[in-house]
Amino acid sequence: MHSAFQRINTLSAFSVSVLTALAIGCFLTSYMYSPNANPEVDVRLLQLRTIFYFDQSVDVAALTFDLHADFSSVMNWSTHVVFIYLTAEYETQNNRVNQVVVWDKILQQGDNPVLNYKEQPGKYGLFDDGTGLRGNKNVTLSLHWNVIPLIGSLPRFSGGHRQVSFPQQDSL
Amino acid sequence: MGLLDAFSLGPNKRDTVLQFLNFAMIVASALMIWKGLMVYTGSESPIVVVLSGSMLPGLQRGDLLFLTNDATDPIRVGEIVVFKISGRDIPIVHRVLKVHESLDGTVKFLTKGDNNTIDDRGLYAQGQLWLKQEDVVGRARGFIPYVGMLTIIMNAYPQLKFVLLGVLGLVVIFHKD
Repeated sequence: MHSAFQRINTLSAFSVSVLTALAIGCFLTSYMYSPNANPEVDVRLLQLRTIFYFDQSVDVAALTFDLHADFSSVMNWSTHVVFIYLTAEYETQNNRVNQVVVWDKILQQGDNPVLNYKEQPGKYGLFDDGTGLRGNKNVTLSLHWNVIPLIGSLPRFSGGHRQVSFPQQDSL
Repeated sequence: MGLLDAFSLGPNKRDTVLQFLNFAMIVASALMIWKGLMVYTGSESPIVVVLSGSMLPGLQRGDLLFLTNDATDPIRVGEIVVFKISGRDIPIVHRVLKVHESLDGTVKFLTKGDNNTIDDRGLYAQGQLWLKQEDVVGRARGFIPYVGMLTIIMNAYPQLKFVLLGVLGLVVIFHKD
């Protein structure tokens, strides 16, 4: 009556349906948790220089920052990894948007979800696309995070915006 | 119920034709879904499989990504993008590290793999410093783990593809309710 093929077919169809239902449930429950980490960011400029980089003059800044953020509700049971990054965003004469990542961190399940940094140096130099950092009065540093779930969408969030102004001269 | 019976023009000719039509319907529907997704997402490849470990621990080999490619929505830092480099066949899945959008709206950006220590300038074509909108295949919107492993295995053992297709085809053609 029921051939081996029919049995395998029914069994695999049923397991795929159950897995799909569980996956959707897992994705939907992620909305029960707050995606906010309420970061507090403080930034100090260490150095501002103009260098010759790939056939043009560019401003380079190095900075340190203090950071406090709590990712415990972002790191919920349907989260696989949280990619956390600190960006500098500003306008210049030639570009209406400049975004540069100066530091990043990958938070995995089991890591301490509370971040506490003091005088942390950036990971990447803040290279401008020209000489637009010098004298720029409105460089906004902010913390962003991208949630990679076990399954589902890949949302990005931000917080802890901190506005700094850069000096006209070289600084040490 | 042999192969020749199925092709013979006996009294069950209608059944045979119906079965081939069913098979053709399945192939056509799959193609329509894929092409429909292409139109809807604007991406030439709406679903991609992660092929390398350069985005570990977030994305691993065999994970599936759903892409969209809406040029009116500007690219921003932290996004996972899939891009093509001239001279390389396989698109790369990496994260945007820097974005500069000029006054006329043209965007240039630099990428980096989460698991790599340096940015992607060494991967780009010789002399290429930035990626542009036209290099983008798509931008990651959704994620399903492991499922793409099947295509990786089939690409590693191409015979398996024909065996699988053959078996599926035979089942569809000779399946009687």
